[in-house]
Amino acid sequence: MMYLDVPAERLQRDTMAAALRGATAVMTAGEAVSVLSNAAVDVPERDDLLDETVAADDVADTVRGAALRALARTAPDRAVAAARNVRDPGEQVALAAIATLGRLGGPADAAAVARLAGGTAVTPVVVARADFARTLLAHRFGLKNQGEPPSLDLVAEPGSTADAFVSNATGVTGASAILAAVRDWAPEVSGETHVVLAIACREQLIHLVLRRELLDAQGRTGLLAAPAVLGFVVSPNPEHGNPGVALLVLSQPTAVGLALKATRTTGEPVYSGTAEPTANSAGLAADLYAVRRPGAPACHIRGLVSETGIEVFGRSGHTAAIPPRVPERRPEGDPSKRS
Amino acid sequence: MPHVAVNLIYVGWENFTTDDLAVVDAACWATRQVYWQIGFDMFGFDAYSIGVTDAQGYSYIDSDSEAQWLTSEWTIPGNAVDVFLVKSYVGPTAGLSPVKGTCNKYETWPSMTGAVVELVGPATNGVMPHEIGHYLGLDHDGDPANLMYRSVDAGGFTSVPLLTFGQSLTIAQHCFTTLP
Repeated sequence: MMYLDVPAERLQRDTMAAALRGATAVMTAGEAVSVLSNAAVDVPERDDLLDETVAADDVADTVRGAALRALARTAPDRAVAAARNVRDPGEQVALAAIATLGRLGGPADAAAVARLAGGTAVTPVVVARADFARTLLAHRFGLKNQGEPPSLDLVAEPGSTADAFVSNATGVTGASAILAAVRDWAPEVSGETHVVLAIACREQLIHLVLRRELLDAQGRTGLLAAPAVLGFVVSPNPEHGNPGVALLVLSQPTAVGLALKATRTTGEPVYSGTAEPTANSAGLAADLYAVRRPGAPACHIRGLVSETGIEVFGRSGHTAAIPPRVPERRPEGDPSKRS
Repeated sequence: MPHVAVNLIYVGWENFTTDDLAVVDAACWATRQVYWQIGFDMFGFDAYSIGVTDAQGYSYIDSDSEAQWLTSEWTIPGNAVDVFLVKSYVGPTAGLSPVKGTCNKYETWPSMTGAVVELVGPATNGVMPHEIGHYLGLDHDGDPANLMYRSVDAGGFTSVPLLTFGQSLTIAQHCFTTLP
């Protein structure tokens, strides 16, 4: 992690606007976006500048996309409005607008997402991210009739030598920091609506932030009736330890209970499974396994929900059961070949 | 002389221009100079690529968790530091690396098994050696002249940033450092 240090005289609105257009030698567009994303740096009319950049036709698509993502951090409401107004975007603007609407938009924004996915910059990743944005809107707002969840190829259960883990309750102070990190991603989350659990994973402490409705029968009945964002998995930044949202836990009703899926914030599924009511509907029992993709471990996660609390435990492999992918050798990219 | 191998992984290869490659060259050269002053040879810098389609949107990083997932899904076998180069890492910082990165690049999430470096013009010559320093065990340092100071001038380093004797001992203890 390294911040860019820009002299105060370069932080003027005109200088930053020129940099974003690639029209000055004192700063690149990438540096300008990086500085604008840093709330600790005082840039006059920051949000206006970002908003204008998103809408500008003469700014590179990558810079416009980065500006929209930065705006989503500094002024979420303005970012949603800017995303709705995007027309004929390039790929990066389309991806930024789709991500903004999925995470921060309203239930009617599925139409705007569909329009962006049908625009001029349709690539496989735009289609995939748009699918996920619509899924996210459906789960955030409990929109029914989402169809059957797709079945995913899962990694087999780990052996007995895999690392065992079990959740613990988190103290009020620790939970407050974790909830604050989740609010950066989902502003509506609070201690009133969610409970926080901690799980020791190797040297790191990850946290589960789960809907409080799980703890009572009426709340569970509601969750069994419509798609929901059941919770979040928060992991520490590997460099400075600050927590951030790593996974979303999505639930969708099935004939016998819930289909569960933990996805990255970009939508790729990481764990998948089911939950079913326990005897007399006094709780829920869930089982999840790792989705087969490069770098995935063998993993079995169990969750038990009852009136007295939530417990999550299981086993996870230390190393990948499915090997990570190996990038292609590219000799023309070697610095030694060019010097 | 002790040495450490480095791999360069261009994420979204098609997006990199000739100018970008020149920025990478300068950053690699700066990295060698920085570590050479404390008697370490940073070598290799073999280039690898992930195409735009295969990168599945991770050519442009939008959060620290995306950087973590990128390194967990791709790796180059062997004892070299994997440096993932991206054109944009949205947010106030220009890179991310674990402090004392793992020796086992097949470790799964939440481990991060490489460093991610954003191309930020001339300042990349400070960001790349800084993030490699983290992977090799160095934490931030309060001296603005030190490589591990938490910010770099947007114009990049104009003189070679410092590393201390104590920092060289830390690097020597990392499993990716080969001692003579």
